[in-house]
Amino acid sequence: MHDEDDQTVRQVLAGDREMFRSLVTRHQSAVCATIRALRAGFDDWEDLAQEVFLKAFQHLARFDSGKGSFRTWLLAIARNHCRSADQRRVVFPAVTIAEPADHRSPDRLAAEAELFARLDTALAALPEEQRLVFVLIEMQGLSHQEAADIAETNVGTVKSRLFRAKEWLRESLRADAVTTGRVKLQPHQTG
Amino acid sequence: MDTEALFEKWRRDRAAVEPAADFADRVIQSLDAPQVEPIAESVTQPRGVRRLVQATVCAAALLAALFRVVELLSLFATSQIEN
Repeated sequence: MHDEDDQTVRQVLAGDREMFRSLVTRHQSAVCATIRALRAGFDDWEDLAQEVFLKAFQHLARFDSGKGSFRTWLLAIARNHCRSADQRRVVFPAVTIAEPADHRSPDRLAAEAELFARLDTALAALPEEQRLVFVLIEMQGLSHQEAADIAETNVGTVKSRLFRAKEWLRESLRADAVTTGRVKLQPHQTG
Repeated sequence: MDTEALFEKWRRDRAAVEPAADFADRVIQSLDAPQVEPIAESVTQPRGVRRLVQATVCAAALLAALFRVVELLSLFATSQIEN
């Protein structure tokens, strides 16, 4: 995908605007997921994602494939855009994330949805820097170095933030499991 | 389902979010706005020029400091020769 992105970027820079569409479709899911996770409790993630792609287009000449993948560059823009949005936007009421249609029993679905909501809340409660590295590494599959570049810190700090984020999320899930008795407890795992 | 499996399921579920079907169309349409043009590389990369200026200033300052140190040491050397 790395080479494919580089080639597409060159085509767009050469004047083929329509080729930008393939960059959008290739990365829209990751950008939207990242923004939604970073802006927990806000329902403007799709608008922000659109603005991120617009910014990426305007600054496409700045992209340097030697420094990292297009996706990493795009997610760095998304992170900065979310930060700006935090400073300028009014708070929207939190929205519940709709789950896709499922044919399991309603009780089980409801229980799972409740636990997922619990994890969403726990993720939103994390400090921004921990939430960022968790989203980039655990959700978007970026390397520690790529996440460190985006977070403007070193790999050691990223590892420490990730560890704390995962601990917090697992603890939240365990606490819910204990109070509701819905899930079987697992030995405490770290890392 | 155990906590680890639930945690993994949630992580995978939240890792991909599909926007509306016309999302890419809206992005491409927004590129057609008159003010949206790719910014030329020379305009978007002043950082390189800025770094070059900073490096030049630092080098000049270092040279000046070195010159002052040599000047100071030569004073001592001269006074010792005179004595």
